[in-house]
Amino acid sequence: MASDPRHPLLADTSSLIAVANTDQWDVLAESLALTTTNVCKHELQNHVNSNTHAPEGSREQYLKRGSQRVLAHLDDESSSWSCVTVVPRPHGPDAGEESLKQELSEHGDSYQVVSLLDGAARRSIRRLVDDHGYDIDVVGPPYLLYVLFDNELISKAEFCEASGEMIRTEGWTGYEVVKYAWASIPVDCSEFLDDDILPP
Amino acid sequence: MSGSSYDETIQFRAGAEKEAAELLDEVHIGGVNVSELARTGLVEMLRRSLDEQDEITVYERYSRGEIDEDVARVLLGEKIDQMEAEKDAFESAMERDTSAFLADSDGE
Repeated sequence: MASDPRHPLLADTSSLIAVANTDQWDVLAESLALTTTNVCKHELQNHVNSNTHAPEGSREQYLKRGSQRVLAHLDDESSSWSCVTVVPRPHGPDAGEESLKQELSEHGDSYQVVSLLDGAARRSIRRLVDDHGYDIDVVGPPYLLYVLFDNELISKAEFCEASGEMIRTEGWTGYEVVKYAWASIPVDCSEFLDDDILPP
Repeated sequence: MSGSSYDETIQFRAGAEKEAAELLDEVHIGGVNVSELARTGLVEMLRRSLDEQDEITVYERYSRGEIDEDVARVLLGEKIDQMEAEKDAFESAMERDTSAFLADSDGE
């Protein structure tokens, strides 16, 4: 695995699960080339193993389904995604985030954009990027959808709906990442989304 | 909350709570600032009462200019600044050539 290529896009566990649960997953998996770590892959496997009987519509089922999709793609020989091995391997609840930090500390020059769903994790990795003087942007998973949109692989409506889905499933965390994406592009999603996503 | 009963001051009947505050003021060395305590406690309880959907609604109203920043800040705190920082990060990432992240162009 040490020879796995490093693509300029690096993503963590929760970021991959978030996009894997959108309707744009198939396009995204096929079109993007991205890298994750063996620790994140292990976290995905844990989500699958520990949620064998997750009820329909539950958070556990969401984590399991997203993880299964990402794992199947990572294990697909024809996939352009890669998984790099991080040594020593971190443990604990923040192991995925820590593995990204380790990877960036050693191979920061290989990356341009890092995607993480958790806001605190983004801020923490942003500090690391600043300390090392890397030219890396740290953003939420809507950026992965934005890459598709920017390259005309998905429509504006598809971009809005997939991002809106993230708000529904991730609450404030999803709102935070999606809202700044919408504010930046700027793309008016009001014609595609219900009022419960964009409160009155 | 215009039109509500929260006109100039927030008032409530303090029974045991008031006595507890007075007791603390009496026994704590140097006393306690009960007004400050009440203000801080209120902010803390307001934030704790907010669920995720409330937070989203408050931020939506704030970003449309329907709520003053100081009021939004009472409820959302540093989350307001974080939203700005996130927007800057996304804008910076948007300036990149995104075709470099596509499978076809990789490794070329």
